[in-house]
This record gives sequence, structure tokens and C-alpha cells, in this order.
Amino acid sequence: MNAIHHPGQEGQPLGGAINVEVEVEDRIETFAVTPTGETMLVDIIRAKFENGSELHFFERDRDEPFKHHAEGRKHIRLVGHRCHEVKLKVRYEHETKDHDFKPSATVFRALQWAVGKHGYNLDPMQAAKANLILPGADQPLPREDVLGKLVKPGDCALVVDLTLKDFTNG
Amino acid sequence: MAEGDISAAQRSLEAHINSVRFQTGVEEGRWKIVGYEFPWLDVQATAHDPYGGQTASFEFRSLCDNFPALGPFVQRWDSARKIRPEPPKSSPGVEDALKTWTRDGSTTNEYGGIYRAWQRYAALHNSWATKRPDEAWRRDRHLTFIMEHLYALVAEHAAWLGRAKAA
Repeated sequence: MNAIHHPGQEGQPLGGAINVEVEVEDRIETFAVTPTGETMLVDIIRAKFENGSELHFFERDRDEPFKHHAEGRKHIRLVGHRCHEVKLKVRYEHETKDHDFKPSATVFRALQWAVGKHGYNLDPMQAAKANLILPGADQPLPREDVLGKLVKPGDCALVVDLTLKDFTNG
Repeated sequence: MAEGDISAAQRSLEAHINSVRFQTGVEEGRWKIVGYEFPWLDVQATAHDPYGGQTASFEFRSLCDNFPALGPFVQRWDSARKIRPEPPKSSPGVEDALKTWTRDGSTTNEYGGIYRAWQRYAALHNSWATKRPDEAWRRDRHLTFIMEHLYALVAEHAAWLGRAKAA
């Protein structure tokens, strides 16, 4: 029991349809598509966007380019972005460390990398306080945002600061 | 139950549960519903630490009355024993989130729920929600906002298990 429907209620999924939510920069679109023949699902989705030919599609928080849904999937959450990768620079104290993420990676995932042994290897006490923040901003980045949403138009790079500041004390 | 018998809060909650973003999380194995009787929603979140290889699962119980105007009251839960389990040994962040604390204004030492700004009673504590709008519940948030935060807690626990095993 993971979806809830009552008798006579609308909104039940259609038989062979795949329900898709696509986030393209600051826009979110939701629609249902029905795969036909040997056409890849990504091509059906791409055709729904005016600039679809310029977009790379990924499942949210996944690295592999999205092509087709796996057997049994009825719901897919995608990120469409003109960048194939986001070159993330994380600054902390006097150092900068780089890592390439897909635009579908979440801030949470980038933070896990930044505090982990491949990043700044913070101790657990420090890691618990850590946030990523845009330079000059006064609030941390929402952890559920995808990196693709944060890059500026025409750019595929993003600079953030790793901060241990306690934002609850003003 | 006919649709007309359902409250607006229940209808909203179920629309969120049936949404693409919630169901995608279910199909990806990040979370699943283990019990539902409005206004109570019990879920299990499962996370894998990509760097340490550990997998962890926690169950949570949410009171979703007046949803989405009021953010859910969320606590860790053991659905088999129908109790809130003892806080686990984990990373400082997870231990802080799952610690036992009393909600503001309670005269009967009522547990306050998960100690994070998005949780109903923690949001009120020291004006936490005002200080951390990025983590606070708002009525225009989606249920998956809570689910992603629960998933993040479990992922942090999985990462801690990986570090503890490697130490």
C-alpha cells in the first residue's frame, strides 16, 4: 500500500502510462506519457520541450543520463539541464576543492561529498553543523535543491562555501 | 469511504502521497508506507551511503492533522512494537535530531518529536523556523520535503555506520 485511492476518486494512474515530473531550471512540469514501440522514453519527453534538443536528462540525484524507464516503474522524476555536468568548487577556510556533479545531484549529496573523506574530511561533530552557502548569502542552500537549479544562465560552474556557522543564533 | 466523507486535510495528504515525486521515492526504494490511517502516516526510509557502502533504515510516524496548513508532528517509530524506540547511537547530527526532548509549553512532559526546524514542535522552539526558513515547513511545501529530510537523516546514519565500521 503506497498509493491511496478511494472509490470514485479521480487521479488513478492510467494502465501503461508513466507519470513524469521534469524540473528544468526553475520550472517544474508534470505529465503522463505512454511509451510506444521502441521509442526511448527520453525522446518522448524531450519532444515536449521547446529547447528539448539542448537538454540533458537525468533522474533526480542519479548520475547516469536517463534514456528509458526500468521495468515496473510508473513514476519518474527527472532533471533536464543544458549542462551535462556542474563543475562545483567548494571553498573552506583557505582551500578550494573541485568535483564534477551531474546537474541532477542535490545540495545534500554535494554536502555529503564536501564533509566526507573525498572532500574536507570533517570530524562528525563538524560535519553535523556543516552547510553549503552561496558566497555572500545569509542562509544556507536548501539541501533538497538540485545543483542545476543554482548555476547561472550560460555557465556550468558553481562556487559555494562550506560553512559551520550556527544559523539559528542570528 | 466515499470521496465526500474525506476532509480537506486528508484529501491534500493523499494527493501528495499519490504524486509523482512521492511515488518516485517509493519506486526508487528510498521510502515506503508501512501504515496509514489518517491522520497517522507511518513510513520507512532506507538510505545507502555511496562512499561507505552501508545501508540503514528507520521507521517514522507522522501526525498529519490539518495538513498542509500545519506541519506534521514526526517521531521515529517501531511499527511492529507500536512504540518510539530509544534514540540510536549515531552521528552527532542524527543523535541531536532523534534525542528525547519536551515540547514547549507541555505540562505533562510530552515528547517534542524530531528535533529539526521542519518538525511541528521543533519549529516553535526558540523560533527555529523563523531563523531557518530554508528548513521550515510552509503550507506550500510538498510532503516529499519531509520525506527528503527523513531520508537525509537515515543517509547520515548510514554514513556514520560506514565510518564506524572503517575505524
